Amino acid sequence: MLIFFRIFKRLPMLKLPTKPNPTSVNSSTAKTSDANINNAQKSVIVKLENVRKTYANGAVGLHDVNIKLYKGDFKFITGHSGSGKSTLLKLLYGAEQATDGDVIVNGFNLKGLKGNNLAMLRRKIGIVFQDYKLVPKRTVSENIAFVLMAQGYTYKEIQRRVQPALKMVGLMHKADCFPEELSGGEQQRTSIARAIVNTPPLVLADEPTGNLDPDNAWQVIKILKKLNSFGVTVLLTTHDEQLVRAANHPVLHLQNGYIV
Amino acid sequence: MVQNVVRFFTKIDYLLRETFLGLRRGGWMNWAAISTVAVLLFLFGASLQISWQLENVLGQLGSQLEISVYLDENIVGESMQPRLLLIDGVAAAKLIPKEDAWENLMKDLGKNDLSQATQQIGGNPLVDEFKVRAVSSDRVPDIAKRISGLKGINEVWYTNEVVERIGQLRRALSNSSVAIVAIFTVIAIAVITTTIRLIVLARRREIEVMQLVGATAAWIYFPFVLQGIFFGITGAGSAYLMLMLSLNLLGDAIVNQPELIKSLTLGLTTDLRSQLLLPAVLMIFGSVIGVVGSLLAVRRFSFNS
Repeated sequence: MLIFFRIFKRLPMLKLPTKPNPTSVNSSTAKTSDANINNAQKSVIVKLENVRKTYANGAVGLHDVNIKLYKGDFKFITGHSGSGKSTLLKLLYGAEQATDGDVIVNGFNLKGLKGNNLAMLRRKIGIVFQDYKLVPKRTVSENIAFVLMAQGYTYKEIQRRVQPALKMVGLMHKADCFPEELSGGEQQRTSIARAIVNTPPLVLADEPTGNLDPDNAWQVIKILKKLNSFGVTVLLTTHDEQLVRAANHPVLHLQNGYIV
Repeated sequence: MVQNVVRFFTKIDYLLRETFLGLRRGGWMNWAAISTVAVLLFLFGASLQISWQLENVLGQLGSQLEISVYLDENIVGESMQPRLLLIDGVAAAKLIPKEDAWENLMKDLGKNDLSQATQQIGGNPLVDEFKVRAVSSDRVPDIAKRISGLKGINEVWYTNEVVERIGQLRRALSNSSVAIVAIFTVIAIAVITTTIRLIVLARRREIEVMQLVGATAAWIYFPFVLQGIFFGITGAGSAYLMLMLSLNLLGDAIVNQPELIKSLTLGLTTDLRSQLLLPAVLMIFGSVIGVVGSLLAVRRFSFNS
């Protein structure tokens, strides 16, 4: 399992709570000088500079957003429905283009990026969606292998990578099941396995727990925390404040397109 | 090196698998596309074969020295002969009385009972004819022009004129074939485009995921182009089979036909162009239609356009 992420610099393992504690305090305001010093030593993996997103109908999705995400970070983005969380993530994986400002991901400036260049960037990003986006007529292992086949890997390499990804999310026993035969939590875990199978340095998760009950939601967060412990940068959007408090990670709050 | 070869074959295997998956998803629409292409290529192949056959007939005619002269109905052949021989460049003028001409025509058409045929028509409709031989082939048009100016002459035919008439027929056939083939080509491309578009829509979720995980546009849409080529080639194969079947049936039918009909179809079934060039042309044309149709279909869905 650790070999799977051997290319990443390992951070100290986080102490994971066994179940959600609704009384724990959000640590977003407790950024210490030690954290600042650590950030200075790490490289920036995501950078948004004065980013503004205005849609064709005139609606403004984001107002002058400035964000920096360092390698190995785990951050939540919270906000009510319509605050711009999904818009922000879409800007990061190129599904939308910023109206103003620069969006830089993994050294790529996404302004005007399209075609094969955008495809190459997306190979470095793992994306997890609220609605899972699994292919119905393919099994769990085929859904995961799909990523590698789409990128031209050999069958031997695909086999080598799919097994650890399945093990990581605890779905080895469901490898030959179809999505319709899985629970919501299992489908989301399949989606996570698909997102990480080609070992991306950055994982974006758009409301990954939105359709899940609290237990399954926490299970998903635990998997993402484990990934983060191996050095994967995780950016996760959610409107579940309880989950955010329980996870105990830095939070960015969006309100009407502004970072609060 | 070995790694690259393995990767190459893996990619080919993947593309073929995705192509067959798309074909399976296409269902009955696949057959609509293939049959439309088959009809188009059948018409195209048939017009091509007729064009080649006309070329063969023209080749057989060649250049001749003989001019056929047809007299007016009430003119007796013997009275005309001396006038024809007086024309400069005429080597000989052989009279064919209308009775002999009628008998020869009935033989060519395979009618054995002459009297019955005459009774059915109500008499011999032909006129006296002369076969005028020129001293050289380049003087034939000039001699024909002079003969046609004589009184009592109804019509003058010579080989070049026949060649010209067949050439005109060939051009008319060619123009109408081009128009019909063009219309059917547009229809075939439209059907293939619609079929591929429906398949793309049926697989849109997979395509969306492929786009999000970093597949290039070529990787996503090339299988659909291969499907279009499959439609084109299968349609071409079907068209060729239908053409060969038609030729075989025609071959069986003309065996018992009169010499005139046989001469027009001489070489039709044994022409090497029909056996070698025709299938190649049909395959290429079918593939081009398939590629054009599928490219038009996937263009709308192309990556970030």
